[in-house]
Amino acid sequence: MSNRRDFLKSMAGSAALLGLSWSPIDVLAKHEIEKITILHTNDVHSHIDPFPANDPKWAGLGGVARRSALIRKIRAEEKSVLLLDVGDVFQGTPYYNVYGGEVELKMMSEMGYDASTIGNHDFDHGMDELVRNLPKASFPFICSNYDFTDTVMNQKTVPSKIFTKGGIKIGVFGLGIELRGLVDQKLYGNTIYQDPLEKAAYYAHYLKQEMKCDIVICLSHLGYKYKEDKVSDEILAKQSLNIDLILGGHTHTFLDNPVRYRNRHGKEILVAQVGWAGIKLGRIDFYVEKNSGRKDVIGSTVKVSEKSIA
Amino acid sequence: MQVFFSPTMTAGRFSIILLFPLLAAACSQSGKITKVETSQYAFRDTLNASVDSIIEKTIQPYRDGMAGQMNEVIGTSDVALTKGQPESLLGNLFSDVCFNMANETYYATSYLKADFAFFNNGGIRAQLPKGKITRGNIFELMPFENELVVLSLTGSQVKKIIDYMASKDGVPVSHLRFKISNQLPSDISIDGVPFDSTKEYKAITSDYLANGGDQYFFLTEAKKDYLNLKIRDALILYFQQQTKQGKTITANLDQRISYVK
Repeated sequence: MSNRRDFLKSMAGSAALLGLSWSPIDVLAKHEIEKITILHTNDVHSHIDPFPANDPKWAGLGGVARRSALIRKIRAEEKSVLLLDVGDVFQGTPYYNVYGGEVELKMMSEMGYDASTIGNHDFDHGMDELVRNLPKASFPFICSNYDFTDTVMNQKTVPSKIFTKGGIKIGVFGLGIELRGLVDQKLYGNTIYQDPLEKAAYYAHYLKQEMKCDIVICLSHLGYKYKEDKVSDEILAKQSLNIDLILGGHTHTFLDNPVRYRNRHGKEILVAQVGWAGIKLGRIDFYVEKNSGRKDVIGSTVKVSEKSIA
Repeated sequence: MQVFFSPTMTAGRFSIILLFPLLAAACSQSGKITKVETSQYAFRDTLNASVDSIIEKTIQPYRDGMAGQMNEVIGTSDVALTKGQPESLLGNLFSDVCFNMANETYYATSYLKADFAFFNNGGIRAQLPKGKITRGNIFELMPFENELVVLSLTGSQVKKIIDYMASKDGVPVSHLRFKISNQLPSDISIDGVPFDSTKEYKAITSDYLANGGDQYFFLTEAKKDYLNLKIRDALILYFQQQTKQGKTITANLDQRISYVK
Protein backbone atom coordinates (compact mmCIF):
# COMPACT_ATOMS: atom_id res chain seq x y z
CA MET A 1 0.00 0.00 0.00
CA SER A 2 1.24 3.44 -0.75
CA ASN A 3 2.18 6.06 1.72
CA ARG A 4 1.09 9.63 1.99
CA ARG A 5 3.88 10.90 -0.21
CA ASP A 6 2.82 8.62 -3.01
CA PHE A 7 -0.67 9.88 -2.51
CA LEU A 8 0.37 13.49 -2.88
CA LYS A 9 2.51 12.56 -5.81
CA SER A 10 -0.36 10.84 -7.51
CA MET A 11 -2.63 13.78 -6.79
CA ALA A 12 -0.08 16.00 -8.47
CA GLY A 13 0.09 13.57 -11.33
CA SER A 14 -3.62 13.53 -11.79
CA ALA A 15 -3.83 17.29 -11.71
CA ALA A 16 -1.26 17.47 -14.43
CA LEU A 17 -3.20 14.93 -16.38
CA LEU A 18 -6.35 16.99 -16.11
CA GLY A 19 -4.52 20.03 -17.32
CA LEU A 20 -3.27 18.25 -20.39
CA SER A 21 -6.25 16.24 -21.34
CA TRP A 22 -8.35 17.34 -24.20
CA SER A 23 -12.04 17.61 -23.89
CA PRO A 24 -13.34 14.10 -23.79
CA ILE A 25 -15.65 13.10 -26.54
CA ASP A 26 -19.10 13.18 -25.10
CA VAL A 27 -19.88 9.62 -25.87
CA LEU A 28 -22.97 9.50 -23.74
CA ALA A 29 -24.63 12.16 -25.81
CA LYS A 30 -24.65 9.84 -28.78
CA HIS A 31 -27.38 7.76 -27.20
CA GLU A 32 -26.03 4.45 -28.36
CA ILE A 33 -23.44 4.22 -25.60
CA GLU A 34 -24.47 2.22 -22.56
CA LYS A 35 -22.58 2.40 -19.29
CA ILE A 36 -22.26 -0.84 -17.35
CA THR A 37 -20.96 -0.58 -13.80
CA ILE A 38 -19.27 -3.69 -12.40
CA LEU A 39 -18.74 -3.77 -8.63
CA HIS A 40 -16.66 -6.55 -7.10
CA THR A 41 -15.39 -8.09 -3.88
CA ASN A 42 -13.35 -11.24 -3.16
CA ASP A 43 -12.29 -13.29 -0.15
CA VAL A 44 -14.60 -11.49 2.25
CA HIS A 45 -14.14 -14.44 4.63
CA SER A 46 -17.17 -13.84 6.84
CA HIS A 47 -16.08 -10.29 7.70
CA ILE A 48 -19.51 -8.90 8.47
CA ASP A 49 -18.33 -6.28 10.96
CA PRO A 50 -15.46 -3.83 10.47
CA PHE A 51 -12.16 -4.87 12.05
CA PRO A 52 -12.03 -3.72 15.68
CA ALA A 53 -10.10 -0.62 16.64
CA ASN A 54 -7.32 -2.68 18.28
CA ASP A 55 -6.57 -4.86 15.25
CA PRO A 56 -2.81 -4.73 14.62
CA LYS A 57 -3.18 -4.34 10.88
CA TRP A 58 -6.70 -3.55 9.67
CA ALA A 59 -8.22 -1.46 12.47
CA GLY A 60 -11.58 0.07 11.57
CA LEU A 61 -11.65 -1.22 7.99
CA GLY A 62 -14.42 -3.02 6.12
CA GLY A 63 -17.95 -3.84 7.25
CA VAL A 64 -21.02 -4.88 5.26
CA ALA A 65 -23.27 -2.09 6.53
CA ARG A 66 -20.94 0.49 5.01
CA ARG A 67 -20.50 -1.51 1.82
CA SER A 68 -24.24 -1.81 1.49
CA ALA A 69 -24.74 1.94 1.94
CA LEU A 70 -22.23 2.64 -0.81
CA ILE A 71 -23.79 0.08 -3.13
CA ARG A 72 -27.20 1.66 -2.61
CA LYS A 73 -25.72 5.03 -3.47
CA ILE A 74 -24.10 3.73 -6.66
CA ARG A 75 -27.31 1.99 -7.69
CA ALA A 76 -29.13 5.29 -7.29
CA GLU A 77 -26.60 6.98 -9.55
CA GLU A 78 -26.12 4.30 -12.20
CA LYS A 79 -28.67 2.50 -14.31
CA SER A 80 -26.84 -0.74 -14.96
CA VAL A 81 -24.96 -2.22 -12.02
CA LEU A 82 -23.63 -5.77 -11.74
CA LEU A 83 -22.39 -6.78 -8.28
CA LEU A 84 -20.05 -9.77 -8.25
CA ASP A 85 -18.02 -11.72 -5.72
CA VAL A 86 -15.13 -14.07 -6.36
CA GLY A 87 -15.46 -16.68 -3.62
CA ASP A 88 -14.16 -17.47 -0.14
CA VAL A 89 -17.35 -15.92 1.11
CA PHE A 90 -16.92 -17.98 4.28
CA GLN A 91 -14.42 -18.72 7.07
CA GLY A 92 -12.59 -16.14 9.10
CA THR A 93 -14.88 -14.83 11.82
CA PRO A 94 -17.17 -16.46 14.40
CA TYR A 95 -20.17 -15.61 12.21
CA TYR A 96 -19.29 -18.68 10.14
CA ASN A 97 -18.41 -20.90 13.11
CA VAL A 98 -21.61 -20.03 14.94
CA TYR A 99 -24.16 -19.58 12.14
CA GLY A 100 -22.63 -21.77 9.44
CA GLY A 101 -22.76 -19.31 6.53
CA GLU A 102 -26.31 -18.03 6.87
CA VAL A 103 -25.32 -14.47 7.78
CA GLU A 104 -22.87 -14.03 4.89
CA LEU A 105 -25.35 -15.22 2.26
CA LYS A 106 -28.23 -13.26 3.74
CA MET A 107 -26.20 -10.04 3.70
CA MET A 108 -25.00 -10.61 0.15
CA SER A 109 -28.56 -11.28 -0.96
CA GLU A 110 -29.73 -8.14 0.81
CA MET A 111 -27.04 -6.13 -1.01
CA GLY A 112 -28.24 -7.58 -4.30
CA TYR A 113 -25.19 -9.56 -5.35
CA ASP A 114 -25.72 -10.95 -8.85
CA ALA A 115 -23.30 -13.88 -8.57
CA SER A 116 -20.32 -15.39 -6.79
CA THR A 117 -18.05 -18.36 -7.42
CA ILE A 118 -16.82 -21.19 -5.19
CA GLY A 119 -13.59 -20.51 -3.30
CA ASN A 120 -11.54 -23.21 -1.58
CA HIS A 121 -12.67 -22.09 1.87
CA ASP A 122 -16.29 -22.36 0.85
CA PHE A 123 -15.78 -26.13 1.32
CA ASP A 124 -14.57 -25.69 4.91
CA HIS A 125 -17.67 -27.06 6.59
CA GLY A 126 -18.01 -29.81 4.01
CA MET A 127 -20.27 -30.07 1.00
CA ASP A 128 -23.41 -31.11 2.88
CA GLU A 129 -23.24 -27.83 4.80
CA LEU A 130 -22.56 -25.88 1.63
CA VAL A 131 -25.59 -27.39 -0.07
CA ARG A 132 -27.73 -26.67 2.99
CA ASN A 133 -26.65 -23.03 2.91
CA LEU A 134 -26.87 -22.24 -0.79
CA PRO A 135 -30.65 -21.66 -0.79
CA LYS A 136 -30.03 -18.68 1.51
CA ALA A 137 -28.37 -16.97 -1.44
CA SER A 138 -30.70 -15.21 -3.86
CA PHE A 139 -27.90 -15.27 -6.46
CA PRO A 140 -26.18 -18.12 -8.30
CA PHE A 141 -22.72 -19.55 -7.71
CA ILE A 142 -21.01 -19.75 -11.09
CA CYS A 143 -18.36 -22.42 -11.45
CA SER A 144 -17.12 -23.72 -14.79
CA ASN A 145 -14.32 -26.11 -13.85
CA TYR A 146 -15.44 -28.11 -10.81
CA ASP A 147 -17.31 -31.21 -11.86
CA PHE A 148 -19.77 -31.83 -9.03
CA THR A 149 -21.67 -34.60 -10.81
CA ASP A 150 -20.80 -37.28 -8.26
CA THR A 151 -21.47 -35.06 -5.22
CA VAL A 152 -24.36 -33.45 -3.35
CA MET A 153 -23.46 -30.21 -5.14
CA ASN A 154 -24.60 -31.63 -8.46
CA GLN A 155 -26.77 -29.05 -10.27
CA LYS A 156 -26.32 -26.53 -7.44
CA THR A 157 -24.02 -24.27 -9.41
CA VAL A 158 -24.13 -23.01 -12.98
CA PRO A 159 -21.17 -23.08 -15.40
CA SER A 160 -21.96 -19.65 -16.85
CA LYS A 161 -24.64 -17.01 -16.83
CA ILE A 162 -25.61 -14.15 -19.08
CA PHE A 163 -26.89 -10.93 -17.53
CA THR A 164 -28.64 -8.36 -19.68
CA LYS A 165 -28.44 -4.77 -18.48
CA GLY A 166 -29.64 -1.84 -20.54
CA GLY A 167 -29.66 -4.03 -23.61
CA ILE A 168 -26.04 -5.07 -23.08
CA LYS A 169 -25.18 -8.76 -22.61
CA ILE A 170 -22.62 -9.58 -19.96
CA GLY A 171 -21.41 -13.17 -19.90
CA VAL A 172 -19.93 -14.46 -16.65
CA PHE A 173 -18.13 -17.73 -15.95
CA GLY A 174 -16.15 -18.90 -12.90
CA LEU A 175 -12.94 -20.76 -12.15
CA GLY A 176 -11.98 -22.61 -8.96
CA ILE A 177 -8.50 -23.48 -7.75
CA GLU A 178 -7.05 -26.99 -7.59
CA LEU A 179 -8.35 -28.56 -4.39
CA ARG A 180 -5.88 -31.42 -3.90
CA GLY A 181 -3.21 -30.36 -1.45
CA LEU A 182 -5.21 -27.27 -0.52
CA VAL A 183 -8.48 -28.55 0.90
CA ASP A 184 -8.87 -31.73 2.91
CA GLN A 185 -10.28 -34.34 0.57
CA LYS A 186 -12.99 -35.32 3.03
CA LEU A 187 -14.40 -31.81 2.62
CA TYR A 188 -14.57 -31.75 -1.18
CA GLY A 189 -15.31 -35.44 -1.69
CA ASN A 190 -15.69 -36.49 -5.31
CA THR A 191 -15.45 -33.01 -6.76
CA ILE A 192 -13.31 -33.17 -9.89
CA TYR A 193 -11.06 -30.23 -10.64
CA GLN A 194 -10.87 -29.63 -14.38
CA ASP A 195 -8.22 -27.62 -16.22
CA PRO A 196 -9.20 -23.96 -15.75
CA LEU A 197 -7.45 -22.83 -18.94
CA GLU A 198 -9.41 -25.30 -21.05
CA LYS A 199 -12.70 -24.44 -19.39
CA ALA A 200 -11.95 -20.73 -19.71
CA ALA A 201 -11.27 -21.13 -23.43
CA TYR A 202 -14.51 -23.03 -23.86
CA TYR A 203 -16.85 -20.79 -21.86
CA ALA A 204 -15.29 -17.49 -23.01
CA HIS A 205 -15.72 -18.58 -26.63
CA TYR A 206 -19.25 -19.74 -25.96
CA LEU A 207 -20.22 -16.46 -24.28
CA LYS A 208 -18.49 -14.07 -26.66
CA GLN A 209 -18.74 -15.78 -30.01
CA GLU A 210 -21.83 -17.95 -29.77
CA MET A 211 -23.99 -16.00 -27.37
CA LYS A 212 -22.63 -12.65 -28.63
CA CYS A 213 -22.03 -11.18 -25.19
CA ASP A 214 -20.72 -7.63 -25.29
CA ILE A 215 -18.62 -8.12 -22.17
CA VAL A 216 -17.17 -11.39 -20.85
CA ILE A 217 -16.09 -11.58 -17.23
CA CYS A 218 -14.26 -14.42 -15.49
CA LEU A 219 -14.70 -14.82 -11.73
CA SER A 220 -11.39 -16.47 -10.89
CA HIS A 221 -10.43 -17.95 -7.56
CA LEU A 222 -7.11 -19.14 -9.05
CA GLY A 223 -4.96 -16.42 -7.45
CA TYR A 224 -3.25 -13.41 -9.05
CA LYS A 225 0.21 -14.87 -9.66
CA TYR A 226 2.78 -17.21 -8.11
CA LYS A 227 6.54 -17.55 -7.90
CA GLU A 228 6.20 -21.16 -8.89
CA ASP A 229 4.75 -22.43 -12.13
CA LYS A 230 1.11 -22.60 -11.16
CA VAL A 231 -1.94 -21.50 -13.09
CA SER A 232 -2.97 -17.96 -12.12
CA ASP A 233 -4.91 -14.95 -13.36
CA GLU A 234 -1.77 -13.63 -14.99
CA ILE A 235 -1.22 -16.87 -16.91
CA LEU A 236 -4.90 -17.06 -17.80
CA ALA A 237 -4.98 -13.45 -18.98
CA LYS A 238 -1.97 -13.83 -21.28
CA GLN A 239 -3.13 -16.95 -22.98
CA SER A 240 -6.84 -16.20 -23.06
CA LEU A 241 -9.19 -15.15 -25.83
CA ASN A 242 -12.67 -13.66 -25.59
CA ILE A 243 -12.33 -12.42 -21.99
CA ASP A 244 -12.51 -8.70 -21.19
CA LEU A 245 -12.09 -8.78 -17.44
CA ILE A 246 -10.83 -11.24 -14.86
CA LEU A 247 -12.07 -10.53 -11.34
CA GLY A 248 -9.60 -12.39 -9.13
CA GLY A 249 -9.29 -13.71 -5.61
CA HIS A 250 -7.59 -16.28 -3.40
CA THR A 251 -4.20 -14.58 -3.02
CA HIS A 252 -5.75 -11.64 -1.10
CA THR A 253 -3.87 -9.30 -3.41
CA PHE A 254 -4.61 -5.59 -3.13
CA LEU A 255 -4.26 -4.44 -6.72
CA ASP A 256 -4.73 -0.71 -6.23
CA ASN A 257 -5.64 -0.54 -9.85
CA PRO A 258 -6.57 -3.35 -12.24
CA VAL A 259 -3.60 -4.65 -14.20
CA ARG A 260 -3.74 -4.63 -17.98
CA TYR A 261 -2.48 -7.57 -19.98
CA ARG A 262 -2.47 -8.50 -23.64
CA ASN A 263 -4.24 -11.71 -24.47
CA ARG A 264 -3.10 -14.31 -27.00
CA HIS A 265 -4.20 -12.08 -29.85
CA GLY A 266 -2.80 -8.88 -28.36
CA LYS A 267 -6.14 -7.56 -27.16
CA GLU A 268 -6.32 -5.88 -23.79
CA ILE A 269 -7.67 -7.70 -20.79
CA LEU A 270 -7.94 -6.40 -17.25
CA VAL A 271 -7.20 -8.32 -14.05
CA ALA A 272 -8.67 -6.87 -10.86
CA GLN A 273 -8.56 -7.99 -7.22
CA VAL A 274 -9.39 -6.06 -4.07
CA GLY A 275 -7.50 -7.76 -1.24
CA TRP A 276 -9.82 -9.46 1.21
CA ALA A 277 -12.26 -9.10 4.12
CA GLY A 278 -14.48 -6.53 2.41
CA ILE A 279 -11.92 -3.82 3.07
CA LYS A 280 -12.47 -2.50 -0.43
CA LEU A 281 -15.01 -2.53 -3.20
CA GLY A 282 -13.72 -2.49 -6.77
CA ARG A 283 -15.50 -0.71 -9.58
CA ILE A 284 -15.10 -1.00 -13.32
CA ASP A 285 -17.29 1.02 -15.67
CA PHE A 286 -17.58 -0.26 -19.21
CA TYR A 287 -18.94 2.02 -21.90
CA VAL A 288 -20.42 -0.11 -24.63
CA GLU A 289 -21.56 1.07 -27.99
CA LYS A 290 -24.78 -0.67 -28.94
CA ASN A 291 -25.25 -2.31 -32.29
CA SER A 292 -21.87 -1.28 -33.48
CA GLY A 293 -19.82 -3.12 -36.01
CA ARG A 294 -17.00 -0.70 -35.37
CA LYS A 295 -13.65 -2.29 -34.70
CA ASP A 296 -11.71 0.76 -33.68
CA VAL A 297 -11.53 2.80 -30.59
CA ILE A 298 -13.30 6.13 -30.69
CA GLY A 299 -10.57 7.89 -28.89
CA SER A 300 -8.91 7.69 -25.65
CA THR A 301 -10.74 9.70 -23.07
CA VAL A 302 -9.29 10.00 -19.66
CA LYS A 303 -11.52 10.71 -16.79
CA VAL A 304 -10.05 11.64 -13.48
CA SER A 305 -12.31 11.76 -10.53
CA GLU A 306 -12.57 10.99 -6.89
CA LYS A 307 -14.92 8.68 -5.17
CA SER A 308 -15.92 8.97 -1.60
CA ILE A 309 -17.60 6.48 0.63
CA ALA A 310 -19.69 9.14 2.25
CA MET B 1 -0.84 5.09 -21.16
CA GLN B 2 0.07 5.82 -17.63
CA VAL B 3 -2.08 4.71 -14.83
CA PHE B 4 -2.82 7.18 -12.11
CA PHE B 5 -4.46 6.23 -8.95
CA SER B 6 -4.07 6.82 -5.34
CA PRO B 7 -3.64 4.79 -2.29
CA THR B 8 -6.97 4.28 -0.82
CA MET B 9 -5.82 3.27 2.60
CA THR B 10 -3.71 6.22 3.61
CA ALA B 11 -5.46 9.04 2.05
CA GLY B 12 -6.35 10.95 5.11
CA ARG B 13 -9.67 11.69 6.64
CA PHE B 14 -12.06 11.18 3.93
CA SER B 15 -10.10 8.62 2.51
CA ILE B 16 -11.12 7.15 -0.41
CA ILE B 17 -10.21 7.65 -3.46
CA LEU B 18 -9.50 7.09 -6.68
CA LEU B 19 -8.39 8.45 -9.62
CA PHE B 20 -8.79 6.72 -12.49
CA PRO B 21 -7.55 5.79 -15.35
CA LEU B 22 -7.83 4.93 -18.24
CA LEU B 23 -8.01 2.20 -20.40
CA ALA B 24 -9.40 3.19 -23.51
CA ALA B 25 -11.27 1.03 -25.51
CA ALA B 26 -8.81 -1.31 -26.43
CA CYS B 27 -10.24 -4.32 -24.81
CA SER B 28 -13.06 -4.81 -27.12
CA GLN B 29 -13.11 -8.16 -28.70
CA SER B 30 -16.27 -7.29 -30.52
CA GLY B 31 -15.31 -3.70 -31.03
CA LYS B 32 -18.11 -2.54 -28.83
CA ILE B 33 -16.41 -1.54 -25.60
CA THR B 34 -15.37 2.03 -26.16
CA LYS B 35 -14.01 3.00 -22.78
CA VAL B 36 -13.30 1.52 -19.39
CA GLU B 37 -12.88 3.40 -16.15
CA THR B 38 -11.74 1.81 -12.94
CA SER B 39 -11.87 2.86 -9.34
CA GLN B 40 -11.93 1.51 -5.81
CA TYR B 41 -13.51 2.41 -2.53
CA ALA B 42 -12.10 1.61 0.88
CA PHE B 43 -14.33 1.28 3.90
CA ARG B 44 -12.94 2.84 7.01
CA ASP B 45 -13.96 4.78 10.04
CA THR B 46 -14.72 8.30 9.04
CA LEU B 47 -17.16 10.77 10.41
CA ASN B 48 -19.13 10.73 7.22
CA ALA B 49 -19.06 7.02 6.50
CA SER B 50 -22.67 6.13 6.09
CA VAL B 51 -24.05 2.85 7.25
CA ASP B 52 -27.01 0.94 5.85
CA SER B 53 -29.41 0.84 8.77
CA ILE B 54 -31.47 -2.00 7.30
CA ILE B 55 -28.39 -4.20 7.05
CA GLU B 56 -27.27 -3.12 10.48
CA LYS B 57 -30.63 -4.13 11.90
CA THR B 58 -30.42 -7.51 10.22
CA ILE B 59 -26.96 -8.20 11.62
CA GLN B 60 -27.71 -7.13 15.18
CA PRO B 61 -29.50 -10.27 16.40
CA TYR B 62 -26.70 -12.48 15.04
CA ARG B 63 -24.09 -10.25 16.64
CA ASP B 64 -25.96 -10.29 19.95
CA GLY B 65 -26.47 -14.04 19.76
CA MET B 66 -22.77 -14.76 19.98
CA ALA B 67 -21.54 -11.72 21.89
CA GLY B 68 -21.61 -13.47 25.26
CA GLN B 69 -19.41 -16.27 24.05
CA MET B 70 -17.12 -14.40 21.65
CA ASN B 71 -16.53 -11.20 23.62
CA GLU B 72 -15.39 -13.05 26.73
CA VAL B 73 -11.88 -11.89 27.62
CA ILE B 74 -9.68 -14.95 28.09
CA GLY B 75 -6.26 -13.35 28.43
CA THR B 76 -4.10 -10.28 28.14
CA SER B 77 -1.16 -9.91 25.82
CA ASP B 78 1.85 -7.72 26.57
CA VAL B 79 2.43 -6.98 22.92
CA ALA B 80 0.66 -7.15 19.57
CA LEU B 81 1.29 -10.68 18.29
CA THR B 82 1.96 -10.48 14.60
CA LYS B 83 2.81 -12.92 11.83
CA GLY B 84 6.01 -12.95 9.82
CA GLN B 85 8.91 -14.91 8.39
CA PRO B 86 11.31 -16.59 8.98
CA GLU B 87 9.84 -16.54 12.50
CA SER B 88 7.34 -14.32 14.30
CA LEU B 89 5.94 -13.65 17.74
CA LEU B 90 2.59 -15.13 16.84
CA GLY B 91 4.06 -18.10 14.94
CA ASN B 92 6.34 -18.95 17.85
CA LEU B 93 3.58 -18.63 20.45
CA PHE B 94 1.15 -20.64 18.32
CA SER B 95 3.65 -23.46 17.76
CA ASP B 96 4.92 -23.58 21.33
CA VAL B 97 1.41 -23.69 22.77
CA CYS B 98 0.39 -26.45 20.35
CA PHE B 99 3.60 -28.39 21.07
CA ASN B 100 3.10 -28.19 24.83
CA MET B 101 -0.63 -28.82 24.94
CA ALA B 102 -0.47 -31.68 22.42
CA ASN B 103 2.42 -33.31 24.22
CA GLU B 104 0.57 -33.13 27.52
CA THR B 105 -2.32 -35.03 25.97
CA TYR B 106 -0.06 -37.44 24.09
CA TYR B 107 2.02 -38.25 27.17
CA ALA B 108 -1.06 -38.84 29.30
CA THR B 109 -2.28 -41.52 26.91
CA SER B 110 0.99 -43.07 25.72
CA TYR B 111 3.86 -42.00 28.02
CA LEU B 112 5.49 -40.79 24.81
CA LYS B 113 6.51 -37.32 23.75
CA ALA B 114 6.83 -35.73 20.34
CA ASP B 115 10.15 -34.10 19.42
CA PHE B 116 9.00 -31.01 17.56
CA ALA B 117 6.01 -29.27 15.99
CA PHE B 118 5.49 -27.60 12.62
CA PHE B 119 2.60 -25.74 10.99
CA ASN B 120 1.93 -23.59 7.92
CA ASN B 121 1.76 -19.82 7.51
CA GLY B 122 -1.68 -19.99 5.95
CA GLY B 123 -3.03 -21.74 9.05
CA ILE B 124 -2.71 -18.59 11.14
CA ARG B 125 -5.57 -16.46 9.88
CA ALA B 126 -5.42 -13.31 12.01
CA GLN B 127 -3.06 -11.47 14.33
CA LEU B 128 -3.68 -10.71 17.99
CA PRO B 129 -3.86 -7.21 19.44
CA LYS B 130 -1.95 -5.95 22.45
CA GLY B 131 -4.11 -6.01 25.55
CA LYS B 132 -7.30 -7.92 26.07
CA ILE B 133 -7.72 -11.08 24.03
CA THR B 134 -11.23 -12.42 23.54
CA ARG B 135 -12.43 -15.86 22.58
CA GLY B 136 -13.52 -14.27 19.29
CA ASN B 137 -9.91 -13.22 18.62
CA ILE B 138 -8.86 -16.87 18.87
CA PHE B 139 -11.67 -17.92 16.55
CA GLU B 140 -10.38 -15.44 13.97
CA LEU B 141 -6.81 -16.57 14.48
CA MET B 142 -7.87 -20.22 14.15
CA PRO B 143 -11.30 -20.43 12.50
CA PHE B 144 -10.73 -23.98 11.27
CA GLU B 145 -11.78 -27.09 13.13
CA ASN B 146 -8.28 -28.56 12.70
CA GLU B 147 -7.01 -31.02 15.29
CA LEU B 148 -3.55 -31.81 16.58
CA VAL B 149 -1.92 -35.00 15.34
CA VAL B 150 1.32 -36.80 16.20
CA LEU B 151 3.20 -38.10 13.16
CA SER B 152 5.79 -40.89 13.35
CA LEU B 153 8.45 -40.01 10.80
CA THR B 154 11.68 -41.38 9.40
CA GLY B 155 14.73 -39.12 9.33
CA SER B 156 14.38 -38.72 5.59
CA GLN B 157 10.72 -37.68 5.93
CA VAL B 158 11.76 -35.09 8.52
CA LYS B 159 14.41 -33.80 6.14
CA LYS B 160 11.80 -33.48 3.41
CA ILE B 161 9.58 -31.43 5.74
CA ILE B 162 12.45 -29.16 6.67
CA ASP B 163 13.51 -28.73 3.04
CA TYR B 164 9.94 -27.72 2.23
CA MET B 165 9.74 -25.28 5.14
CA ALA B 166 13.01 -23.69 4.00
CA SER B 167 11.69 -23.39 0.44
CA LYS B 168 8.77 -21.44 1.94
CA ASP B 169 11.17 -19.03 3.73
CA GLY B 170 10.16 -20.38 7.13
CA VAL B 171 6.95 -21.49 8.81
CA PRO B 172 5.78 -21.65 12.45
CA VAL B 173 7.77 -24.33 14.35
CA SER B 174 8.53 -25.37 17.91
CA HIS B 175 11.54 -27.27 19.34
CA LEU B 176 13.13 -27.16 15.92
CA ARG B 177 15.92 -24.82 14.82
CA PHE B 178 17.58 -24.30 11.46
CA LYS B 179 19.09 -21.68 9.19
CA ILE B 180 17.97 -20.87 5.66
CA SER B 181 20.28 -19.91 2.84
CA ASN B 182 18.91 -19.69 -0.71
CA GLN B 183 15.80 -21.49 0.52
CA LEU B 184 17.89 -24.47 1.71
CA PRO B 185 18.18 -25.50 5.37
CA SER B 186 21.37 -25.96 7.41
CA ASP B 187 22.40 -26.33 11.07
CA ILE B 188 19.26 -28.29 11.87
CA SER B 189 18.62 -29.24 15.47
CA ILE B 190 15.59 -30.91 17.00
CA ASP B 191 14.75 -30.46 20.64
CA GLY B 192 18.28 -29.17 21.23
CA VAL B 193 20.08 -32.06 19.53
CA PRO B 194 21.63 -31.97 16.02
CA PHE B 195 19.36 -33.61 13.46
CA ASP B 196 20.25 -37.24 12.66
CA SER B 197 18.79 -38.50 9.40
CA THR B 198 19.13 -42.14 10.54
CA LYS B 199 16.83 -41.58 13.52
CA GLU B 200 13.04 -41.71 13.75
CA TYR B 201 11.15 -38.69 15.06
CA LYS B 202 7.71 -37.79 16.25
CA ALA B 203 6.23 -34.49 15.15
CA ILE B 204 3.10 -32.58 16.10
CA THR B 205 1.14 -30.86 13.38
CA SER B 206 -2.44 -30.21 12.25
CA ASP B 207 -4.60 -32.88 10.66
CA TYR B 208 -4.78 -30.51 7.68
CA LEU B 209 -1.07 -30.92 6.94
CA ALA B 210 -1.03 -34.56 8.04
CA ASN B 211 -3.71 -35.29 5.42
CA GLY B 212 -1.63 -33.75 2.64
CA GLY B 213 -2.66 -30.09 2.91
CA ASP B 214 -0.30 -27.37 1.71
CA GLN B 215 1.16 -29.92 -0.73
CA TYR B 216 2.51 -32.22 2.05
CA PHE B 217 1.35 -35.22 0.04
CA PHE B 218 4.00 -37.54 1.47
CA LEU B 219 2.65 -37.07 4.99
CA THR B 220 -0.45 -39.07 4.12
CA GLU B 221 1.70 -42.22 4.38
CA ALA B 222 3.02 -41.45 7.88
CA LYS B 223 1.63 -43.17 10.99
CA LYS B 224 -0.69 -40.80 12.81
CA ASP B 225 -1.94 -40.58 16.40
CA TYR B 226 -4.98 -38.33 16.62
CA LEU B 227 -5.16 -36.49 19.93
CA ASN B 228 -8.79 -35.41 19.76
CA LEU B 229 -7.64 -31.90 20.60
CA LYS B 230 -8.57 -28.97 18.37
CA ILE B 231 -5.91 -26.34 17.81
CA ARG B 232 -8.37 -23.60 18.74
CA ASP B 233 -9.31 -25.33 21.98
CA ALA B 234 -5.64 -25.80 22.87
CA LEU B 235 -5.01 -22.08 22.36
CA ILE B 236 -8.06 -21.00 24.35
CA LEU B 237 -7.15 -23.37 27.20
CA TYR B 238 -3.61 -22.00 27.31
CA PHE B 239 -4.83 -18.39 27.47
CA GLN B 240 -7.28 -19.28 30.23
CA GLN B 241 -4.61 -21.14 32.22
CA GLN B 242 -2.21 -18.20 32.02
CA THR B 243 -4.94 -15.84 33.16
CA LYS B 244 -5.88 -18.09 36.05
CA GLN B 245 -2.26 -18.03 37.17
CA GLY B 246 -2.28 -14.23 36.99
CA LYS B 247 0.04 -14.21 34.00
CA THR B 248 -0.10 -12.23 30.79
CA ILE B 249 0.70 -13.65 27.37
CA THR B 250 4.23 -13.13 26.13
CA ALA B 251 6.18 -14.36 23.13
CA ASN B 252 9.77 -14.08 21.98
CA LEU B 253 11.81 -14.23 18.85
CA ASP B 254 14.68 -16.67 19.42
CA GLN B 255 16.08 -17.17 15.91
CA ARG B 256 14.65 -20.68 15.79
CA ILE B 257 14.60 -20.12 12.05
CA SER B 258 16.95 -17.52 10.64
CA TYR B 259 18.25 -16.41 7.26
CA VAL B 260 21.95 -16.67 6.57
CA LYS B 261 23.00 -13.46 4.91
